[in-house]
Amino acid sequence: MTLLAALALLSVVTAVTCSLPGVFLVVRRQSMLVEAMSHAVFPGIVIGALVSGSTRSPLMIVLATVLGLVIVVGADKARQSGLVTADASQGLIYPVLFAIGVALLSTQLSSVHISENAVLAGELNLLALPTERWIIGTTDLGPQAMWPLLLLLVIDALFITLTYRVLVVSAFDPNLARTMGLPTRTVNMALMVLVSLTVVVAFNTVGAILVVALMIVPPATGRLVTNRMGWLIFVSLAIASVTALLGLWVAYLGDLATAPMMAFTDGVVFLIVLLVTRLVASRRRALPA
Amino acid sequence: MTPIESLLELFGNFTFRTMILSTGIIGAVSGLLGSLLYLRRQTMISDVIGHSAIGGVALGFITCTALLGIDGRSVLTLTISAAITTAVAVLLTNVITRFSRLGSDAAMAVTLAVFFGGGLVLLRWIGHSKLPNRAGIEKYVFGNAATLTGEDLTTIAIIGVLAVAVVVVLFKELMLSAFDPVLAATMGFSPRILQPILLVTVTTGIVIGIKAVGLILMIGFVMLPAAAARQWARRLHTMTLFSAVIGGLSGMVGSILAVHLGRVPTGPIIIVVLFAAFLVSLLASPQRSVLSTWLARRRHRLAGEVAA
Repeated sequence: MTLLAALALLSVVTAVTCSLPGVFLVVRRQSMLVEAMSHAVFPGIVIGALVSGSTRSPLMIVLATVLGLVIVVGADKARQSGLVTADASQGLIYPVLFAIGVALLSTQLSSVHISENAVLAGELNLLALPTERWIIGTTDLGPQAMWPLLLLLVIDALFITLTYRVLVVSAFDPNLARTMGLPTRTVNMALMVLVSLTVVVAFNTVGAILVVALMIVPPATGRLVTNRMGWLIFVSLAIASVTALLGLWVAYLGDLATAPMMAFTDGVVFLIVLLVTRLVASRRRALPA
Repeated sequence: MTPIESLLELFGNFTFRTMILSTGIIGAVSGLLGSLLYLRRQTMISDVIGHSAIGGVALGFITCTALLGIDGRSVLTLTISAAITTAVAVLLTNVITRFSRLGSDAAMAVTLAVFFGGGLVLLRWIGHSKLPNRAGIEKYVFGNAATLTGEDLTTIAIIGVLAVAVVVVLFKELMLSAFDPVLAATMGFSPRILQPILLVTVTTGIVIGIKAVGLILMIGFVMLPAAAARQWARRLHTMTLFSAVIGGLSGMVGSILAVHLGRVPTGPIIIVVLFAAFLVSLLASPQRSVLSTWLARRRHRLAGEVAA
């Protein structure tokens, strides 16, 4: 497998795995929860890496995922206390968790192999190198880092298929969902676990901060062109794949950072689609009926 | 040596004095502005400002070194370019929210993708380029108060005083428009004038912290003092004052702690101090807190038992 093929596989798998749960966050208007979670899981990643010596150990993944959920539960508790404004409740918890992560990283730098650069932008390029492949016999199965993401994608897809009705109804009309007796609480919590898990697993490839762009922007672009949930999922995944390849291509030609370029491309594609859909809409209005 | 003596010695050292004063001013200014954002329920926008500033840092550095031929690493040039860029980022967020059916949450994510993603691309490009003075530019993401110069401190102090002056002069108008924008508009305080002033003040006031405390944790500097101050104050002007005091003290305490601990960056330690202040306020302030609610409930229950 050539380096470019491995890079393309890893980029597309990362983008698709991120944007699938992102679809539901966009329609529920909870996009910035990803931002809060991706900062909050960071000390878990550092501590997990300190204890286990690797950024891929199951212990690290569990620890970091639990910290991501602290945001969800903590924000709920803070809101219920009535002492802080609702939109502030997430934002009060994650800065301190991220700060602890950065402080730990700076004091333990010699024993943990996470560079500041990896925190910001991930190590997509390094993880696609020939030394990081999964090779069985003589078959090259692509970058090792791709497989946990693929596994997560399958879990996400199964979860969404099984709970599709609950997810859709509770996203658009939470009261109706409760009246219908649907298990909204359980399904919502399960979705949050998957979002947190996605943020943690994607850390190695895209770092702690770009993940919000990769999860939210493709579904947001999809939301501009369709109102139907099934279509939205399909369009979001398609946009995620195309922007990942486009971003990678530009980064490859210009020798630029890959993951940030993917995020930037996502943003630019959104703005172009927004402009085009607005122009088309105003054209239609201007034409006589 | 007693702790006080060691503190005095620390203060006698130029680098440490610059650090402590700068972080104190940065903490106070962001605390002051944070109380305005907190009441407007626009807290996540400070996260967008902090992260988008990286695009401004990169653009400003390229403009200064490649086009104007000056050192692009001073607080003044960084603040100007970051303030312009983040103001554009905030406006873009508002435009997306207004012209699409998406919520402001998704609009913020798009803005982050463009400005933070784009900023990182440019920073990496600067790192590989042959521009002069490029070393250390990537450090601004996490901030390092030890790199501040005396000139930087002067810049921070002047911009800080300007931001405070704007808030003091326009306090009544800003307060009214935070609580009741419609009434403010009917009373003749045009949002067209007030909003841009607030936007420029907030972005400038927030981004002066870039070099000292980094970009990523800005939201904590803005929100934690405001949320802590809210626990102790009933009126907006006392809350704003408390918020500035809590921010300023935490900034100074945090940077003293960071010096004592060694090897740890200043920004994160200040955030930990601010969070501790917030937690204490949330749990134990006299008027409204977890503890006072619990005590009140207990009193009620006991009174009920006595009555029965």
